[in-house]
Amino acid sequence: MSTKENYKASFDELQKIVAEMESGEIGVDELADKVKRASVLIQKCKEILGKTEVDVQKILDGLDED
Amino acid sequence: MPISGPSYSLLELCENIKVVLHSNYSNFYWVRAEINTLNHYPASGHCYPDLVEKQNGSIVAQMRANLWKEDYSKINATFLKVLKEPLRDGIKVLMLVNIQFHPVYGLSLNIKDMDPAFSLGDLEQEKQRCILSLKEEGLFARNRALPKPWLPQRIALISDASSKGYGDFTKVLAEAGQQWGYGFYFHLFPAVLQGDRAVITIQEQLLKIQKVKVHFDVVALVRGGGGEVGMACYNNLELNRALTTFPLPVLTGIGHASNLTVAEQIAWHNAITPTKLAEWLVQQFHNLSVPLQKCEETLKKYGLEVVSDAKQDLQHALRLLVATARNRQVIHLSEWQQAVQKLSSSTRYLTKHHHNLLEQNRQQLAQGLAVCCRSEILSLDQSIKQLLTAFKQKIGNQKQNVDFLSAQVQNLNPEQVLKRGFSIVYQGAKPLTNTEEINPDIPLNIRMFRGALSAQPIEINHSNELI
Repeated sequence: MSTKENYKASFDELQKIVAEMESGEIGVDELADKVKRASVLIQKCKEILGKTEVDVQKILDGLDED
Repeated sequence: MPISGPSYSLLELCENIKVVLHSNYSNFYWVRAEINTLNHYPASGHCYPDLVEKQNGSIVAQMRANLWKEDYSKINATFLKVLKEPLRDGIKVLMLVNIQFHPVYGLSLNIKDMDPAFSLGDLEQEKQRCILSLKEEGLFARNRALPKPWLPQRIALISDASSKGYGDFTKVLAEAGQQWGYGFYFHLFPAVLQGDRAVITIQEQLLKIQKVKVHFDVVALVRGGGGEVGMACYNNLELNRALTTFPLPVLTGIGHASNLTVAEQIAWHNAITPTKLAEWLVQQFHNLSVPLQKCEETLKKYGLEVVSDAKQDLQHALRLLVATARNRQVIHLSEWQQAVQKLSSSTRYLTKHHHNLLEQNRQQLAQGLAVCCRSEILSLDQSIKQLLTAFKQKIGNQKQNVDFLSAQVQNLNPEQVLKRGFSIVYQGAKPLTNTEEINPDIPLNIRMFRGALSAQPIEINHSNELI
């Protein structure tokens, strides 16, 4: 799975979980599981975004050097 | 009619007539008449001529005659000697006759003699009449007016192969062939060449020749030997008409010693004898051959001079040509070298000029290309930067989104709620959200942020108000 797909799938799942949590229909126990899953996904998204940002910046820095 | 006077038997009458006739015509008389037909019987030697007298072509008198063998022989010999003609049909004669009457044979004349001089004059008259007629008809000089053949070589020969004249004629031609290589060609058209039949047979042969005339240059009438008699045929008007109007030149060599016959007079060329005629033909060859030989000699003589002159001229021309060519060659070489030099320098100049132009173009092109590339690179860099910046912006947005969602998750996290002083009430494993779910007999499990406790329900209020 590419980074783009990885990120998109993770972000979509995260949005879905948040929506489910906000609906209030999820029980407390299930909610705790969802939070854990959401935390994993948030971390993953942040990592991908962070890495991409670094890459972009590197390219920009490289262009400026030229 | 009643008989008055005595009657006679035929014989008595005839005898009486005979007596009267012979008493009154007892002499010999000179009588002029034409021998219509001679009626010569060779077996007996006697002739029974049919004598006539004509006026304007019509017979105005006619009588039978007798010419006994001895008289005939004598008279014929005289005629042959004087007239060169035998006694024959159609001849006019002055004859010495006596009148004879025979009871059986009737009236007749006995010919005792003839005067050849009279017949000779008559023949000459006939000849003159023939000439006159031909002249009046414009035919006398007709054959002589034909153009001279370039070389009379192909001969239609009217002759008799057994005659001496034929032999003489062909011998001369053959000798000419052997001696000088003259090629005569002749074809014999046989004919009777004297006497009555000559007129018919010669005319017949002329008709034959006429059909093949393209193969011949001349017609030769050749006769000789056999005696100078029967030549009157060559004065015949019909025969002479045929000869003079013939489309080819007619040559005659009929070996005639006395006066020329009409045929010889009207001929294109006449020779006294066949030999002379053949010699004349050979002479025609000579006439062509001699100038030809002279021409040949002249050509040989002058030809060499001409060749020599031409050689000299040629050598002179060649020398001139060579010199001119050399001169031209030098001029051309010089011109050529100049042209080559000019071309070479022009080429060098052009090559250099073109090289410079090319180099200039190349530099301009390189510069242009570099400018173009640089501009493109800058433009590209700019685009990439814009893109990356936008991308970076997007990443920032996404980060915010993730942060927002993270905050929401944090907010919804039950532990955070418990932290804020909320608790979760269980009865069994199921968390309770409604008092109506509570069984008062079963203890409740209460979970807090930190720790849990078990409690027995005392009072249950189904309203939202706190007890």
